[in-house]
This record gives sequence, C-alpha cells and structure tokens, in this order.
Amino acid sequence: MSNLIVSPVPHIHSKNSVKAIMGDYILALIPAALFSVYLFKFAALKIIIISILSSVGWEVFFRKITNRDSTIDDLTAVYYGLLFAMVLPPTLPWWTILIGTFFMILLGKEVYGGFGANPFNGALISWVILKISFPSYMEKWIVPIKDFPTDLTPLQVFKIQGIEFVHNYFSYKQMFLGIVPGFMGQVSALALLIGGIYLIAKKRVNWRLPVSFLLGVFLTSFLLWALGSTKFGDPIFHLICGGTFIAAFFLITDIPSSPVTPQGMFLYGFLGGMLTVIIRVFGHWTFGSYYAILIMSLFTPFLDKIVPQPYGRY
Amino acid sequence: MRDLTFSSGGLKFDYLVTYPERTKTVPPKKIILPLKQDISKELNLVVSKGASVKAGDVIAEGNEAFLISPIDGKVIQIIENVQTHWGDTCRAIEIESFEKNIFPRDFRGDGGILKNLIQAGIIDYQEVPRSLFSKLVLAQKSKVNTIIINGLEEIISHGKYYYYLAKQISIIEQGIKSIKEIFNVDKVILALYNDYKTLDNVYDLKDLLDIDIVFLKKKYPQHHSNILVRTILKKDIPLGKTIEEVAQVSIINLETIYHLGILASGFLPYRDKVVTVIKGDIKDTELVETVIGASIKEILESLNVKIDNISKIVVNGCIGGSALTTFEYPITKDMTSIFLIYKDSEVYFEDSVCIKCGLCVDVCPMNLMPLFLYGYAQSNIWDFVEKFNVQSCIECGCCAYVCPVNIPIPQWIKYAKANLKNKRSDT
Repeated sequence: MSNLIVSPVPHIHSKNSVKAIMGDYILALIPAALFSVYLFKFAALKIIIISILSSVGWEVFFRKITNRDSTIDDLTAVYYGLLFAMVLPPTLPWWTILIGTFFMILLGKEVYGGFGANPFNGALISWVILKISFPSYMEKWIVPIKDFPTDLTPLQVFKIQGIEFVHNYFSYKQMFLGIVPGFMGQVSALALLIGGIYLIAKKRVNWRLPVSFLLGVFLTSFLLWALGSTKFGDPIFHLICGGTFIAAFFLITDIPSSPVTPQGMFLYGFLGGMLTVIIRVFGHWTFGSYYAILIMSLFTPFLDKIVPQPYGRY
Repeated sequence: MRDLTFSSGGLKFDYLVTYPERTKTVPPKKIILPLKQDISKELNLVVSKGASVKAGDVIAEGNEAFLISPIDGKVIQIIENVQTHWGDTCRAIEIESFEKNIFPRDFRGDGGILKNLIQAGIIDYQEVPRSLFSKLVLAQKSKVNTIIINGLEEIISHGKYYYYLAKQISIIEQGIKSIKEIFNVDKVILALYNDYKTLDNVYDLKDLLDIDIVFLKKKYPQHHSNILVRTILKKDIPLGKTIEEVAQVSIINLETIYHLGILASGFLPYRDKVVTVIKGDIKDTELVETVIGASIKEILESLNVKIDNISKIVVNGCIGGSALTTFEYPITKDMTSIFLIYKDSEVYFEDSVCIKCGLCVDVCPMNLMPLFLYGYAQSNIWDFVEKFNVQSCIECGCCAYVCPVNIPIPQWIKYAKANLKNKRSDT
C-alpha cells in the first residue's frame, strides 16, 4: 500500500510567507530607524525598543487571554511596533507608548481576529488615540542641531507661521535629508525612499500605491500652488516634508487595509494623496497624511468592488 | 522582434530551458494499459485474459484511437476500476513481457497517414488528453486555417521538447509535414520559449517548411491553450466556446507532432514514450525512454530512486500537474513529465486567515479575484462565487503558489464549481 499524497494544484510553493513579507518591511524601515537614532540619539533608541517590546508583549497577552495560538513568529507585532515608533515624537514618555501599543494590537489586530482582518492600520489608529489623548506630548520635539532657528516641524511652521517662514528656517536639502524636528522616522525622506525602493524592487509593495499617492500629493499641491498664490506651499515642499514618504511607502501600503485591485489601488493612493494636501492646507490638523489614509481605509471595501474584467467575459 | 508574453498575471521563471544530459532507456517487465487514454469513451477490448500478443497487435478498439500492444507478451489480467489521473475510471489490461528486460523490437503498420491515424492511436494533450482524430473532426467543422504547435512545456518541468528539437529534428520535420497534410492548412506557427533561439535546428525548420516561429517569454502558465491563443493571435476565448470556433486555429502539442513523425516515417503506432523525470528539483532531471504502459515504480527503481522518501508524484507539470494515487500507475500517452516530491519538501496548504495582500489578484492570468472566490466559497455564498466568474478559472494554481498564508485556493474553487454544477442539475 502506497502512502502518496493527492492534492489539487499547485504542487510547489513560492515559499512566500507573512514572516518573509514582514522581514522585508522591517528591513526597509531600518534606514529610517537608524537615521532617527543618529539624529535623536538615545531618546529614539529607547522609544524603538519600548515600542517593539511592548507591542510583542501585548500580542502575547491578547493571544493568551483569548486562548489562541501565538503568532509572534510571523513578525507582525515586531514590524508594527517599529512602524509605530517611527510615527512618534522622540520625547514621548514611556507609559504613553505602552498605551499606544495596547490599542495598536487591540484595535489594529486582535479585535478583528488577527493580522489580515483589520480594516485600519493599527499604528495609525493608536497614533490618533495618542494625538487626541496627549496632544502636548505628541508635539514636543527635539531640535536636531544646536541653535536651530525653530523647534517646530516644517508642517507646523507652514500652518502657524506661513510658507515663507518654512523657507527661512529649512532648506529643501535639509527637509529631504531629514535634519528637521519631527516624528522619529518620518523626518528623512531619503531614508524612507531607500526603504520604499527596496520594497518595490522586492515586489512586497505594489508600485501602484506609492506612485499614485505621490502623484496625488504632487498634482493637488501643484494645482493649489498654480491657482492660489504661494501661500499653499509648493509641490516639492509637500512631497518631502511631514511624512509624505512614510505614508507613501509604509502606511498606505499596509497590507490588510489597502485595496487589492489595480484600479482600486490607483484611486486609493491618488485620493489619499489629494486628501493629504487638502487637510494640510485647509484643515485644522497639521499631519494630513495620517488622517487622509485613515479616512481612505473606510473606502477600501468599496474600492475592492472595482474588479478588472476577466478574460473570456464580455 | 520582441518576445511575446501574455499581459496581466502569471509567474516569471528564469530557468534556462534545455534538456538533461542523462538519458536512460527502461524496458518494462510488464505493462498496464488503461483502456481510456483520452477523455472519450472506454475502448473495447479485443483480447482476453491468457492471450498472447505481439508488439503491434491491436488490443482495444474505439472510434477515435486504437490501443496497440507495445511489447510481445501475455495478457495476465484485466483490472477493473483503474482511476486515470484526470479523474475518470476505466478498465486496464496487464501484459507481461516475454523477453524480460529486453526493449521491444520495432514493428511496422501499413497504409497512409490519415488511414492510420485512428489505428495508430495518436493522442494529443493540452489541458486534457484528446485523440488527434477528434481534433481533426472539430477543426474541419470550424474551418480551421491555422495550426499552432505548442512547443511549450510547463516552464519548470521542461527538458523533453528541447531534446526533440535538438536530437530528433528529422522526425519533427516529418511530423510537421504530416500535420499540414492531415489538417489541410498552410499556416503553421511553432511556439517556443525564448531559450530555443540559440538552437540552429529551429531556424532550419522555419526555412525548410515555411512555418512561422514565435518566441515567448518564460512565464507560467504560457503553455495553456487559451493563454497561448491570447498571446499569439490576440484573441480572447469566451467561456464555453472552443478555440477552434473562435479563432479558427487548432493547437497541437509538439509531442503529438513527434508521434505523427514516427508514424509517417516508419508507420509505427503510438508506443514509444520519452518522459522527463524531475527528482525534487529541476537541476536533478533525467530523460527516460520507455513505452506506454510501463509502471512508474519500475522506472523509478531503474533510476535508483528510493521510493520510501517520496510523498507525492505529480505528472504533466510541477505547478499545474496532477497528483497520482499510486506508484503502480503506468505511463499513459499524455504523460510528459514525472515530478517527485520528497517527504522533507512537501508543501502543506491549510486554511489560515487571508491577509488581503492581493498577490493572487496580481498573478491571476485570467484577471479574476481569487481571494474573493475563496472567501465566498468558504462561506457558501454561491451567487457571489458565480458573480466573480468562478467558471473562468483555468485552475493553474498561480494564486496558491504565491499565497503567503498557504490557502489552497484552487481547492476551494474546485469545490465551488462542483457545488454550482450540483445546484444546476438539481433545478
């Protein structure tokens, strides 16, 4: 009697796994993380470590009390811990991080049944919770070099003082490299770009999402800049400041909360980019991209309905 | 000209398509011949248990393709309920060879090609095995004016066709001449992977026989007939229609051309078989020359493969092939490759939670939404499964190949198709 296994196609597998995907995402965030440690020294390192450890800890806790198998080895908790650290200011007290990661794992993952079923990016949800609960902690920055002309982020300067002050305080080069105050991982567009290109090259991220998002930001800000005077800020400024790149490569590309169809991705990214600029320019809040992506996630089930035409069907 | 490929989906591979150095001849001690070598009706036996047969004798007859004994031997039993690898059941005949371990001698039939097409039992294999005669009937009905010779093996299980074109070119040449004559067409297109560009024989064929050659990129499932027609002729085949009806083209496998060539040059029926044996990895591949009916177990033993370590045997492709239930299964006319999966490298598919990464949508060559098909099938929402065009699925397996959480999507799709079929027959 032979004991052969019989199964439908496929008989081999690409060896792709959640662990492999998350590993690449973590690797792609390393340049931004290293840069934040270089810029903000021990403060940044402390936040990264607390965020990752607490995120893993909460996951173990929730899995334990709901009596389910542990999923630490798929690295999702580690990645989201690191991603969450990247959107925090370097001065945040340790206990607020614990609260943040608690809600990130609860509302961004476990309450829906695990990674993949969550309609929103957990890191963004808990960022909003912290922003609403502890507004003063969330806007306390460290100036990257001594005698820096301002202790506000470029977007805050833009909102409070106006675009001309932005150009007085920061050069494009500074903003692109990330020598500005701001959230730990989002300051350096360059570091994020390196990680983003890595993700696209490894096909972990569908190019449509970041490209359409950046296009949305660029075109909308270009239109406003061309139509309304210079007070809305120029397109280059909107592209390289205030988390456009972390949004384009790490937040809008979040696996469970983004659409899966090509057309859906284009719309999701483009509208997200548009909304980012609109919130920045006309809204009350400064960090437009995070809110824009959270709002766009609401449309994901709808955008998934825009399915391509299958072959052989007319 | 740029190499052609199909748009949207598919899996790219960068294997170099060539043929394995090692070739082995395996004469069978006994053979088992299922009476269904194609998807038509079971053949009628013309010999009974205990009878002696000679190589070349007819052992079963049918309307489309006969079955001819490949060896001299004695019929030792008629086996009931043999399951074919495409899911049919039929009887099978077991013949023991008189001269053990001696490769059967040649024999000759008589008459012209067309007359012998049925007697020689020529089978063509695309997605399912069909007799060449039935394809000819279909082609004549649909006024086919073009033939595409499918020289594409499944990208990972290649080896044999390159061997045919590199070493058996005169037989292939004869086969192409015959197919032109039988189908009465002028235009013949030979479809090959772009690695064949370095093979001079291919250009000689083109000049000598005035055929077109198209080179295609190495992508799975480029070998599938619908996708081949979509790539080469830019015609989309609507669901429920045949390629012959829509595009006036017949697709014939290079394997069939080879057997036609043998028939035309020596009046030999379908008997010899070359199969690629892939031992776990494409780098460890051998070509085996044997005859139809030889048992896979016997072949593996002669290649010194330890069968205890094997957990799965897949024929006709590594990704999209069919898994066999037993080692005793014989080589049938449609077989091109045997892929062995060892116990330590078996992939287990399980139902975990879909993470909505969208990779399956990316790779689907039919532009479907595999994650929704799986989701709705799992929740038994049949209206939606149908609305998302489950019937258009060609079950190539690309979706499950890339799935990071190993969901057996094709299995759910098969389940959905079966359920929809049952529901329709109920009403």
